[in-house]
Amino acid sequence: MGENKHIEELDAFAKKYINEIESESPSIDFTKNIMDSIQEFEKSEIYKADPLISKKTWSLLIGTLVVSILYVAKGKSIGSIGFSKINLDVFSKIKIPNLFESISVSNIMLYACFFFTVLIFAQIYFLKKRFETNIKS
Amino acid sequence: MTTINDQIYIDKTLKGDTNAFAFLVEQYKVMVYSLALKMMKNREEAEEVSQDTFIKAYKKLDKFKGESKFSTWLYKITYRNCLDAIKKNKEKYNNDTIDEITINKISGTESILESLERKERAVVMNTCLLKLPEEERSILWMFYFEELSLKEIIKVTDLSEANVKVKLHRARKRLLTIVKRDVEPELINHYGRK
Repeated sequence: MGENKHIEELDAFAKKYINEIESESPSIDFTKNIMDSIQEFEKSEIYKADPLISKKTWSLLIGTLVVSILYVAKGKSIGSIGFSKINLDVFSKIKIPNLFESISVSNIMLYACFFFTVLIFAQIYFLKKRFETNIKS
Repeated sequence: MTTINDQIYIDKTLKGDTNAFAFLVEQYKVMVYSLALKMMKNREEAEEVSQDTFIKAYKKLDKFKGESKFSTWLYKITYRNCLDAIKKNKEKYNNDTIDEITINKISGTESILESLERKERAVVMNTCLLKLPEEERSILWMFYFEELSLKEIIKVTDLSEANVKVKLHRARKRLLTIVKRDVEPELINHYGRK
């Protein structure tokens, strides 16, 4: 009984005096700062580059590759998969004329083409990075 | 559970009207900031945590299903954010040890507090409240000042009902102990000299 009365008194004490404490307000720019951050977040969401091959497609490709490797590793020949039933003779009947027969390319030209391709890929990577940082700032 | 007005602005925000979220910020900024200030004890840090709370709430708004009040949901984010920030700077937030003493008469302490002006008393009580461990002072604040129910406090803190009740009771006792230990002697001295 005495304990209950003491709890009640404590409750009344806390209620009375904590309620008297005044709540404080944040700075004047509070809402503006939040909305600015939200606008920035929204902008970055718009310009977020989506990968050409999604994670789902990647996992499907890797899965197919792993399954094929395991299948072959188990010793089953490709013939047993059922390819033998497909008539592939059609392909041997198709004759495509070699259009590049008369064109001869020097080794230097081949190297130049190779490095040109590498540089283009490198540029894509750097340009993408630069594009992203410019949007963020 | 959430108010119709809040839901209107939540729906507008989800449809892409970011300005509708500004209304929700205006509506709840004092509530969020007050709890953050009670937990962080520092204006700058409280403001930072409060802003972060609203930004997180905006990003997660689609996960708010309206099962609880929007304010309770916001409180939960604020509470978590504050605890995370406190954890990062643990040394800074060392609480002083409060030895609980058995106090039978509250009336003596009350009459001393009543001798103060209301504003002065509010400052004194705020100082005493801030001396409690962060969990206890936040529970006291939510229960008595913001008038959250026990159920709501359980949702915010993720503590069990028994745990909240124990912490609430301990916090009340400790608050009285702090007032007795720190305020009473000072006031008696002050008025004694007069």
